[in-house]
Amino acid sequence: MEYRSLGRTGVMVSPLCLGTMNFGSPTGEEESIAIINRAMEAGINFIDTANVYNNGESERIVGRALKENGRCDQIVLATKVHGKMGPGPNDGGDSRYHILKACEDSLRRLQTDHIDLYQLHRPPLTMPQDETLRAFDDLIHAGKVLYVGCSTHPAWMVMEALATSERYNLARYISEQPPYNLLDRRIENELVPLCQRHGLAIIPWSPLAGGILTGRYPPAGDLPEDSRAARSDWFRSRVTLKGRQIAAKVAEMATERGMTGAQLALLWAKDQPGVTAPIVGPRTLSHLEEFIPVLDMTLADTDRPLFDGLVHPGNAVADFHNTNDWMKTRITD
Amino acid sequence: MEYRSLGRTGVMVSPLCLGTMNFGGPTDAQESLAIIIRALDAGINFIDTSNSYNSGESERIVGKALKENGGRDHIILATKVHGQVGPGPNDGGTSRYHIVKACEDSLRRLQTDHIDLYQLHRPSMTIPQDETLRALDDLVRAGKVIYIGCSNHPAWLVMEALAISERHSLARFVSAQPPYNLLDRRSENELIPFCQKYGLAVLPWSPLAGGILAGRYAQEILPAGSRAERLGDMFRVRVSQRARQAAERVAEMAQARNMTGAQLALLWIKDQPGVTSPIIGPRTREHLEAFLPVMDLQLSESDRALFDELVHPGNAAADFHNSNDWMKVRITD
Repeated sequence: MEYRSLGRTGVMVSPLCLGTMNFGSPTGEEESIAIINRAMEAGINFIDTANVYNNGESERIVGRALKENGRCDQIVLATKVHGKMGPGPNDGGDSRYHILKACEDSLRRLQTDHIDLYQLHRPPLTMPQDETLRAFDDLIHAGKVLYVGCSTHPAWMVMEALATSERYNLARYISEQPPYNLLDRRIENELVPLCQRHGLAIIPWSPLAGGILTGRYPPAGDLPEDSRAARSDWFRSRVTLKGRQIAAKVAEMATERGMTGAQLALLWAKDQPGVTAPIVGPRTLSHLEEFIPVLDMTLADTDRPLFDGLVHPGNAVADFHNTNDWMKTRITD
Repeated sequence: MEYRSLGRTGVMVSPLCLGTMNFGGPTDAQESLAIIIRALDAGINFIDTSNSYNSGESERIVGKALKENGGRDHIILATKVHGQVGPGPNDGGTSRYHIVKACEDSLRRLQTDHIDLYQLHRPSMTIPQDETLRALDDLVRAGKVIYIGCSNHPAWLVMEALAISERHSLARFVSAQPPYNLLDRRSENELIPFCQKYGLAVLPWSPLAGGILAGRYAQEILPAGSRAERLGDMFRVRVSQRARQAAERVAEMAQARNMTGAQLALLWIKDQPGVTSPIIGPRTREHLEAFLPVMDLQLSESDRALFDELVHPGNAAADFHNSNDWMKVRITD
């Protein structure tokens, strides 16, 4: 397997990152731990969680798994801060006040003395970035965090953060975690060129478009009752007919190549220019098994234009930015 | 009439800027002069041209008009550099080598000893921005340029430019000139919030969507002599069905308000948050006369919401970024 540098840091990570948003709910603790162990056995050394995932449960399960298998020191462990963790006005956000506390809480749940990659889950739209970056920098000086990154930021704010870090001699963001998949390619316009130019790792979330690209939603007809789209409004609005139809085409292409649609769509995201490691979010052990072979595959350059024919570079047919306050564009059928 | 500050500079400009792309092309020298004189008469004090418009003819006509009527001292005169103005490998672009020469050429054609706002017509993705900014800064120090600005840049690249200016104590961009109109609102996602935060003036080009919003393309067949017919594919693909339908709705709304569609669409863009002064590009004196009353009008908040229903904030129904290499999204019907 080809390990890749996490942006300009030189730290090598597997080309798939294990996402843990399902751990604790809907995936039970035992299955979650089995998924983590199987992923590590297959060579995945990059795990991403967040303090808000299932109210800390995801972090707690990851911490327990790494404690039990004793391989915490072989993992690049990433988590996030920003989301609301309690009812108080300072139980979330990007202030130094919150970040220092939230970091201690994450360390305790993860049963570790340091976080490898600590990410700002959403951009600080209403406060100056030097406040946040100084807090992160102090965590790095204290040895509690090795690297800092951001998630779901507009490109200009990542650039603003880099300039702020340089100006004040603070640790700089080394990664950005945007929504990115074949159905929503909008980051190719601004974020990808920025990250390539400034050496930031790109860690796409929702590389399978929340299951649309795995064929979870048939190209026509009702949504499956037990699906995410049936459970949540903001997710349902992502499940466009156009997106479902393109998923059906990807499935056809995959069959011709002896793969599943999920594998081919994941391979595409993994091998897009600028991408370091898409975050897979298996709900079950069998999901994970399906993803693992992709670690060793390479996208054929002749296949790339076929995907560009399905969704033009930079375009979107489903709205994976609809949880970002700053992105105003809405994508509908 | 309300004059507005050109970003953070304190220089007051009229809320419409006279664009001169037609001068020396479809609009002959005599009519162009008449347009300039009428615009100044009506209180417009902001004129925008470029070294590449009609091979320098536009600059030459503007220079002649200002010389003849002696109005140069009361005008904020803007021009641009970057486009190819000759066959050689250094007859365009953003190198110091080209910029220093191109500025002299513009000064000569404009018959003036200084340019008030010197803008980079397009971003250069391939050379480091400190090279360009240092050249522009030297022109500022030499008194040949008062302010510098950029045009058609992605927001992150403007942010990068500001950081470089600050780091090296160079003059900073005071304005951005993006394509922006009711049919292409993509600048609202990144560029506008960025410019608001950093005090850059926003000078939208194509505020009437190249005539679509003036009802130029109400018929199925492209009118003879229209830009879409004259200028070929790049403009023709902008004339989408969705755009024509939106223009029709604007015309209806305008009628109910005793205005023309062009006036209402221009009023909308003039009063959008962050906008300093849209650039109108009259081909005839008659066009100009139709635009002038807009300077004294104000958009009502209840009307703003109606426009958001026609085209959602951040969305596009026509592709006015299709002459920017960096914007990969293509907008089609």
